Order: sequence, then C-alpha cells, then structure tokens
Amino acid sequence: MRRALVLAAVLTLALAHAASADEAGDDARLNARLAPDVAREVSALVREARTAGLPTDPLIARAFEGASRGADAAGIVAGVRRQATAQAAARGALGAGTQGDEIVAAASAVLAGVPADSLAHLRLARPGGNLVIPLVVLCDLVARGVPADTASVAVVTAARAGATDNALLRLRERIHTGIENGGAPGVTVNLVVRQWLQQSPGGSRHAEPGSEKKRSH
Amino acid sequence: MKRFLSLALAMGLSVAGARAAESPLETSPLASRSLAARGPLALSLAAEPGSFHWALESGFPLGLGRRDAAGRMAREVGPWRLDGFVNAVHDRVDATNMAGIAYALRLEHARERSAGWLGVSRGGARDAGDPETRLTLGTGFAHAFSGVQAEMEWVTSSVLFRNDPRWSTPRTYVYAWYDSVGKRAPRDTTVYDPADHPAFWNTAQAALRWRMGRLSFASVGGVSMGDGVHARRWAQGTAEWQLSRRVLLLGSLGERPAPSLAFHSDAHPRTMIGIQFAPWSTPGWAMSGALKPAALAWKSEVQPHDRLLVRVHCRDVASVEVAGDFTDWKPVHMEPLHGGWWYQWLSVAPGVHRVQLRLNGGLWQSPPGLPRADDGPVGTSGTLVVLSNAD
Repeated sequence: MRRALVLAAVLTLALAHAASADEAGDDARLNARLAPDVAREVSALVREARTAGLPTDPLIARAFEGASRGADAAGIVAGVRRQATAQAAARGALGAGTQGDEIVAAASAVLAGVPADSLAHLRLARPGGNLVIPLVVLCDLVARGVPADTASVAVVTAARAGATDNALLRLRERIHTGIENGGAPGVTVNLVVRQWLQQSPGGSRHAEPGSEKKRSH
Repeated sequence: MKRFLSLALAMGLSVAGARAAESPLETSPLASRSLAARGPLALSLAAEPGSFHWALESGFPLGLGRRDAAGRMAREVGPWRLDGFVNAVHDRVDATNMAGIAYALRLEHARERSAGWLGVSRGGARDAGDPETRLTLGTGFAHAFSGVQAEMEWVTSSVLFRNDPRWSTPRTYVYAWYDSVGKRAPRDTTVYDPADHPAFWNTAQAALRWRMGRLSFASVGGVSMGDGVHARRWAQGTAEWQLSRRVLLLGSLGERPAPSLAFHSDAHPRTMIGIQFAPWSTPGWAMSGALKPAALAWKSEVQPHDRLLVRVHCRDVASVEVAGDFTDWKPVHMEPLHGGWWYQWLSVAPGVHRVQLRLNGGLWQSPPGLPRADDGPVGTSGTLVVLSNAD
C-alpha cells in the first residue's frame, strides 16, 4: 500500500513537472513572436485550455497565424479565443474520450459553420471509430459552399452506412468534380451520396440523405 | 547594316545581365503596351510578301537603391521606366535593302490605371518621295477603363526634303548682248534649282486596346499633316496572341506612317504577320494577367523522423511558398524541380494541420486537392492530415 502511494506521488510530481515544462516552453514561443501584452492574453487562454484537457498547440498556431498575416492585437486574441471556444464545443459534442486530433478537426468544422449537434450525430454513426477523416470531409464540404445541414446529413449517412475513410475521401472528390462542373453544391452532395448508397453493399438498407434530412427536422 | 547589328548586339548585351526588376506596376492593365515589360530585351520580326520589318526593344524600370535599417541594399522600383527601341523596315522591292531604321528612347511614368510618356527618336522608314526624318518628339497618355485601354498620342517630326523642286532656289544670270546696231541690251535668266526644305510633320493618333485572355486586339487611327503633304488619314487593326510566356504572335491589317511607328515596337508599317520573342521574360511580363499562376496538384509523403516531403505542381509561377501551423505560419520557400514541380522537406508531426500556399508572392490560398479548413485571417486554408509511419 505504501509502495503504491509512493508510486502515485512520484507519477503526480512527474506529470506536474512535465506540465510546467510545457507551459514554460509555450510561453517562451509566444513571447518570441508576439507583443508582451498579446503573449500574456494568449498564454492565459492556453493555460485554460490545458487545464480543461484541450489541445494547446492549435491555439498557439492561431496566434502565430494572426501575427504572420498582420492581424492586430485584438484580432490575434479573438482568433485564439474562437479556436478555444470551438475546441470546447467540439469536445462537448463528441464526448469526453475524444482524441486530440479529432478535437482539432471538429473545431475546424465548427468554425466553418457545422452545428455542434451534427458532431454528436457523427459520433453516434461511428461509435469507437476515429472521426478525423469524416470531420475533415464535413468541414471541406461546408467550406466549399454546401449548406451545413446538408453536408452533415450526407457525411453522417455515409458513416452510418459503413463508409471507410478512403470511401469518404473518394466521395469528397466526386462531389468536388460535380460542383466544379456546375452542379449546385447541395444537390450535388445528395446526388453523389445517394448513388454511393445504391452502389455500396448493404447501402440500400440505410436512409438516403434526403429522407434523413426530412426526419431530422 | 553591320553598324546597326553591332548597336543591337551592344544594347542586348548591356541589359542582358540586368534582370528586369519586378515592378508592381507591370501587372497593371497597361503592362502589355511595353515589350520590355516582359524582360530586359525583346525582339520582333514581321513579314509581308516581299518585305519584312524587325524591331528590338530593351527597357528597365528606373529605381534607386536604399539601405534598410540592417544596412542591406534594397532596390526600390519606382513608377518610371526607360525603354529603347530600334525599328527597321526593309525595302519592298529588294528585301536585303533597308528602307529605314529608327532609334528611339521613351521615358514612361505609369500609375495603376494610366501611363504617360515622352519620347525622342531619330531616323525612320521612308517610302518613295518621303522626306528624311531628322528628329521626332512624341508624347502620349494611356488610361485603362474596365478592360479597354485608350491612348492618345502626338508626334512631331522635323523632316527634310532634299533637292525637292517644290522648294527651289532661284538663280538669276545677268548678261548683255549687242544688237545689230551695236546697242547693248541687258538680259537676265532665272534658273530654279531644287533645294533642301526643312519642315515639321505632325501626327495625331488614338488607339483602343482590348484584351481577352491570351488575345489582345487594338485599333489605331490618326491623321498626319505637315508642310509639303496633304493631310493623310490612316488606320490599322492589330491582333496579338500570347502563344507562350516568351512568344507572342502578331498580326496587323492596314497602314501606319513612320512617325507613328517610332515609339512602338509592336506596330507594323503595313499589313503583316509576325512573332515576338522575349528570352528573359519575368513574372511581370506582358499579358501576365492572361496566364494566371496556378497550383495544380499537391503531393505529400511521410518520411521517418516526422519529415514530410511536399511537392506541388504549378503553372506559370516564379516562386512558391508554403506556410502552416507546422512552420509556425512562417513562409517557407519551395525549391523548383523539373516539369513545373516544386518541393520542400518539412518537419511535420503526425496530426491534423492547417496549411496555405502562396504563388509569386500573391494571396495565400488553399493547396490544390487538399480538403479545405475553416478560413484564417487571410485566404482559404487546406487541411493536411499526417499519419504516423505506423499508420
């Protein structure tokens, strides 16, 4: 029992030391690139994210992106805060056990305009599976002009029908081709996913994107 | 002929070493006016049945160097540029015989949508009966109106009619003779000798140019008047097709008088077809708007130790930069490979990353083929998913 307590104490101390080392490293990076007051505000947001167990590198990257692109102090801090809020919303929707990469991809989707409840539907459609690629595809569709609810229903439907990551990426390419050839984004997504469902084994058992959308509203 | 070729060669050599600076003005709608916008040297050759016309143009932006805070010399490119022209027309009867050659200098001041210039020229092509052109002064102003460029131009030439009977010099011979009675009878005879006659010729002209992708059309018309000639109206239409970055095909229909040619190396004296070649074309070349720089494909390959080999296939670019969260959003220059491919080794940990590309120092954009991420502060971003080697 005593040995276990000692081991736990050592582990706790080691983790605390690692966390404080991370914090010092992040502060040094921020101070090297940002004005002192901006670095202080960003550092506070990074500390909050670390305490909440959220990825911190994307926050620092947002700050550096703003600085590189000439954003003013308020713009840099606002960009970091948006990222932190999106990450928190993403983890809230996807669940506590969500991996860091999934949170980053989901935060990008949220910032692109995907509603948080669509992320929860995606988690239910692929329980236990990695959601990075479905989230990346979802974000891409929305960023290219597909209405967020249409894109969400399409990706959730495909994931529920057992679409692998490669299948989702191929679907994305077909949708792009359709849009580039003049198709309306929303119509093209429904058409391509419907065709894929008809062609995929067992796909007809699953609801088509249009009918899913009708039910969800 | 040898003298002219020597001069042309000297001009070419003197500027070949100095790569034309990239002026932001060279991307303006007016850039296509100047051959030299495509590099420090450009050559053109046009032909008609039995004759041909060639031109050489060299030019460079005028700018001053200035030391920055770190003491490094930085070149400042201003709105001024100086162009030099050699324009030659060969005889219609005997193509080996040069009918005339003109040398010109043009100082141009360009703004975003307009440009004004002053020029001085000596010599020029002559048709049978034409006077000798001694000195030509010209000025012009061009302005771009939503895709159409309009230009007004005035050229004054000092010409010399040599031994022209219209301006004769009288010579009177006075003599006397004696009639049959021996009376002295004074007489005189006046003889008119052809004489030289200096005069001024003026040419006023206007042009409209319109560009559509790689094609450019222009119509130019004017009136030439002066001592010793009737006012002459003339017009010419031209078409240009940008075949490649360095090669431009030219065609013209109609005639232009010699003074009108003096400050334009892309102008032809008569109906002709031709070609222009700009061996050292720069990103600021003419019609650069027609061939837009584009990234066509993106490939990335995961290597051991978190190294990522990135290759990008581009068209009509001189520089490619990549930036992303893995570079702390600092731009990293990519290196050129063959066939329009560019590459760079990057240090990228496995995970989900945001990335942007920049071509020719333009706007940051999402790499081709990558899924789009949410937009950042400037431009669209792509999502780069890097799997670990184990995956």
